[in-house]
Amino acid sequence: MGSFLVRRFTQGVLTVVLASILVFLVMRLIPGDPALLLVGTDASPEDVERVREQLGLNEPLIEQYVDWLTGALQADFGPSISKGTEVGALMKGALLPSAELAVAGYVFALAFGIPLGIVAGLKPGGPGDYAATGFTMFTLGIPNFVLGILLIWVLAVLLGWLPITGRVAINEDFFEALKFLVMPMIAVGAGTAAVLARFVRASIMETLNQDYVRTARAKGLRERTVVLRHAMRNALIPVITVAALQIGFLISGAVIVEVVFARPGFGSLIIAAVIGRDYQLIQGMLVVLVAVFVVVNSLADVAYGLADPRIRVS
Amino acid sequence: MATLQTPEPLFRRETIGARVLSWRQQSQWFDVSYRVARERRGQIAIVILGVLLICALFAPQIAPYEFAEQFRGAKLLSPSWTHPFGTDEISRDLFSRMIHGVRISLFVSAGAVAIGMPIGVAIGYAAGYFGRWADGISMRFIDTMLAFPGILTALVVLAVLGTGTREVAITLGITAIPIFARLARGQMLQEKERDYVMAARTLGAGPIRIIMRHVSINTLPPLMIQAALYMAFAVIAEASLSFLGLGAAPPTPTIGLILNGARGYLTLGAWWYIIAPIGALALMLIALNFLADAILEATSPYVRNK
Repeated sequence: MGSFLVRRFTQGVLTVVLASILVFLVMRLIPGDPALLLVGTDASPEDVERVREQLGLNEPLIEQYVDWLTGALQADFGPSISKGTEVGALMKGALLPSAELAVAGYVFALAFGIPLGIVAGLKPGGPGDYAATGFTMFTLGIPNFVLGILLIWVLAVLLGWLPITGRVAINEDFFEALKFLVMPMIAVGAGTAAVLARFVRASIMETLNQDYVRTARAKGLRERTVVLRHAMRNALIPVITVAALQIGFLISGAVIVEVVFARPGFGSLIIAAVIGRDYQLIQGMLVVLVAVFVVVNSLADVAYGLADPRIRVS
Repeated sequence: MATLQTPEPLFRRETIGARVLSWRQQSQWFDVSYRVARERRGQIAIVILGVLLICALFAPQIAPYEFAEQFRGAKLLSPSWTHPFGTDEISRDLFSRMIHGVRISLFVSAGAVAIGMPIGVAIGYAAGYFGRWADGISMRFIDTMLAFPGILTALVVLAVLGTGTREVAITLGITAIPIFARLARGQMLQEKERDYVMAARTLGAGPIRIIMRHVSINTLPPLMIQAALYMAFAVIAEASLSFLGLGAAPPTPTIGLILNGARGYLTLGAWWYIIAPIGALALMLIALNFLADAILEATSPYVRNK
């Protein structure tokens, strides 16, 4: 297990470093002089030169990258050109709203997708299976941000049950915050829920065909024990990996859903950064996001290793 | 004298010269298309995509009005004979706008696949076939690109290219490269150990010939499935990006822009305004996913008759 952890950790660090180099280089391709953007077009050439010097734009690329990386490791991502503040501060402000939504959406996906898949897998062709198929078709045809608009239309406009857009911080008023969170949470989590439901269904159907399940039945165990103790535990192990891989897609989907519901967060920040061609801001946010994905995926691998001893050996 | 009835041979061994190949045997494209057309999901996909494709190709002829034409006193009208899908907040015909929207959607997504698939597949084949450092370098690069999930890669590229319909198509083409490269490499690794590749090599075929004539034919189905699925992703991505204002500029009727417009008039009860883009999106996405399913069913002996 030790060497497995070390290997996974170095792999993860390498991916983040390579990703940061890639983003750094691509951001240099943005046309226009960042210094000029910062001081404005009517500034004197001396002023522009001074800002260039300040930003370190006159140094060789490698030096610039190393400077930026050492800063980033201390949570200093440099100044944002379009917003006029520190990138680190902007990200810190966006963290809680985005984390709220991502966690809520993920919890929804797990709590809805896995039981749906189990019901469908235990009785293929039954009503649960039809519900799962119907739900999957629905999420295939309706992408997350469109689902958000649809939810606003039905739940907020037509029925008037929920507030249309906006956000209340979860640490201020928990129940009020939940009201604002219900629709974005469903919009963000539905696609993941469908993927999980389909995977769980297949996994359960496969497990129920295994020899040890037949053995369990043959020795006269109750069906409940067979399903819960023997089949389910093994069927759900591979779900860990799929569920973890979905986190990345869930967060990238949340970017647009946040905009639909006018919630502050990484989504609206990154869109503003792309429109404003704010390379410092994009750079900082993407590297942080990639780091989050890599950590999540590594944790999933470790969890998988813990749950299934065979993985650790190979 | 009783004639001896020869049993029907399992495989007809006619001489190649005298043998007339049926149209299905002439190319794997024909064969796969034929099988897809026999699957129910394939039929649904072909009908929907066929209709939408005709709309896309002949949008200027089919659309009853110009997509930017404004009609006096026709603000937010519900569907009628003159305006089958109703009108929007600045009195434009939604039916005409939707037809042009579908056109942009399909053109952008097909363009993205047309850009990304050949490049990605070429990289993947080369990496898989030659192995060693070519594989090591390209796969490191591709894994790094795949570390950004979903639409985030597109956002990075778009920040460099700037906004616009063509930029979106190019961006989605670039983000397709690692996906196709990954898949093609895996296929190549599997196929190059097969006997027929060894046989071709023994006969003196070079890598280009082996890849183009032999391996590519056998790795076609998974790549076709991926192409259909990536088109579906590109349709969503194009709609998302133009919804966010990163795609085409406002008078252009993209599905994302129409959705964004419709969203503001929900409280006024303009149900037709929101139904049209959602319906068009759903049709395209379901059809493309069905197409992918049908190709899988048609080409995989294991999944058949499930």
